[in-house]
Amino acid sequence: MKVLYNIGDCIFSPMGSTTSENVQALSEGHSALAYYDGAFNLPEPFFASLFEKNHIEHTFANRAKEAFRYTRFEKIAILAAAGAIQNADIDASRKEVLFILSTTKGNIELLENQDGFEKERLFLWRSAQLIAQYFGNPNEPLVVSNACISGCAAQIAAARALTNPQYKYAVVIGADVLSKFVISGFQSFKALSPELCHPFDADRTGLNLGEGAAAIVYTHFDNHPKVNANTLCLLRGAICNDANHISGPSRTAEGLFAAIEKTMQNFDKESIAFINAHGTATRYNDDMESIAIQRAQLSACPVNSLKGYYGHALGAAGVIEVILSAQALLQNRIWKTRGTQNTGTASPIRVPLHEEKTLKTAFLKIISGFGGGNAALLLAQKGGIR
Amino acid sequence: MKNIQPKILSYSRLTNQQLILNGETLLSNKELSPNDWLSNIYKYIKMDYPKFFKMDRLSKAGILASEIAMNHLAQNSSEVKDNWAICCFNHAASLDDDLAYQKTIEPDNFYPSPSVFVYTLANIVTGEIAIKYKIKGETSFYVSEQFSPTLYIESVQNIFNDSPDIDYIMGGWVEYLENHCDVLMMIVARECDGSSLDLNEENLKKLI
Repeated sequence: MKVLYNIGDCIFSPMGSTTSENVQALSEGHSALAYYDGAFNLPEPFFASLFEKNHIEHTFANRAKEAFRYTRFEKIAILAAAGAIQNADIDASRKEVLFILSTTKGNIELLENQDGFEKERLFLWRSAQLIAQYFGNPNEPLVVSNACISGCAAQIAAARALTNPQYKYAVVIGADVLSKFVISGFQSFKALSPELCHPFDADRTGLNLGEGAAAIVYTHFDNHPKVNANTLCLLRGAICNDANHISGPSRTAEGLFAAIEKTMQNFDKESIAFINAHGTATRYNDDMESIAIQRAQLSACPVNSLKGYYGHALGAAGVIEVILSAQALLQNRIWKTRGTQNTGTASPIRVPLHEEKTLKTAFLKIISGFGGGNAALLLAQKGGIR
Repeated sequence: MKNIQPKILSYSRLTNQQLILNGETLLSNKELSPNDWLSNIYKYIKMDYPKFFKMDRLSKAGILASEIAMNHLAQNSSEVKDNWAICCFNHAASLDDDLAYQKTIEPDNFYPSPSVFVYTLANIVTGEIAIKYKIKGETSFYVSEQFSPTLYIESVQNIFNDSPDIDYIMGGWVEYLENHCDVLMMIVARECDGSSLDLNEENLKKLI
């Protein structure tokens, strides 16, 4: 796989509107998770990380230049992309820029209330076109929809797309908003926790959902002016299917283990500062990840989950978590796993319950989802690659 | 980067009107309802896979088209295939199932069902195909306005270039929305001898 360099990113989430705001909130131990009773007219209460009412609309109205009507989902995707593009200092209207959108459900909330939008807005490719067109970009964007692994799959797609000589930059956007549709579905699955989630805890009770968007501008030019020793590089990535069950993980962590093995091939395990896991806090997911980590002989490596801050942000999760893990690495930190007290998983793993320091320069991102998909990404600071 | 010329070993085409294998019409449909048509194909190819009846229509169409293409290859379909990947595109993601699920969460009729909800993700069809044929390589699902031969060829070449251990890719276009069925399922090999079709734009335009 081609090595990619992150030359600008942005997280637009209930924790903050820029990457640095998110890092600040995370450093201070804040969580965006809250209790909601009666939200979305749902009969059952739930915990989730939601944007405050009208926050998206206000932020967008303050920054956006045109009168065209965008949906909530499109707005957060645009806001995250605009931040990343600004940081990268690129002209996103050029033909050398490709937009890649990762989402699971896009504008699905329009099924309940079309709110004056045309029916076409239910199609993910349509939203992606409008997002790219907002920036004046002429290319047909790529839409990745691989359930929960979408955000990581989109970064692998970026590495591949940039082998095409037409492109110099990929703007990878992960975004999902929550709705009655999504929350009721997870409730029907009995997957939601009746309290704040406890990833990897012996007494974990299920997941909390979250909404948000994040974007990374990747380039494969190592001589780009924005690339320096601190630049975070996406070195490798792999996707493997369990071929076992459409909604439950493999008992032997087949697919995730294979994805980690492919990603870590001939890479020194000792240089991995931490593994940022999916860590949804469901019994099966967290056990499965612990088994994969043990099978890959990485049990000594610290493993964290950011779901206690953001909840599970679906198609945005893989992008948000890669950005925050990169920031941790840059500051020689390992984020703690918020909400967890007594680690207890099928295979023993080391989950930092307090923030730790590290001098290592690489991390492994792992993620799994419905449809049996598993992905692993290996990222490192440019100055630390041997 | 190695220049690869992948070959199409076999392909199937499934619409509401026709079932085609490698250019040859196997079955035509004039009067069957979309659901009966899928069940009829299941019987016609003597498939024995009870899980089929639990699936949504997108997965049913994807599985039938895969089975027909796979049968032609005389592959042992129950053997673990860690050198296979799956790569599919469509237009409507899982909107057919989304519409069905939405009906179960209306205010006066609220009974959300996990067995309907699970299919409201576009990539579940690739998961069903992976389970049926024990395909353990990559599964990728992309959504685009229409089938783009250029993009499909690029995606296939990228998987082969990125993953030296992958020799075969099952996939193509798998669309099902509001009784409209449109599937092109291909089995593509990294390289092979013989007279198989080249995976190129000209051929893909003919197939779709």
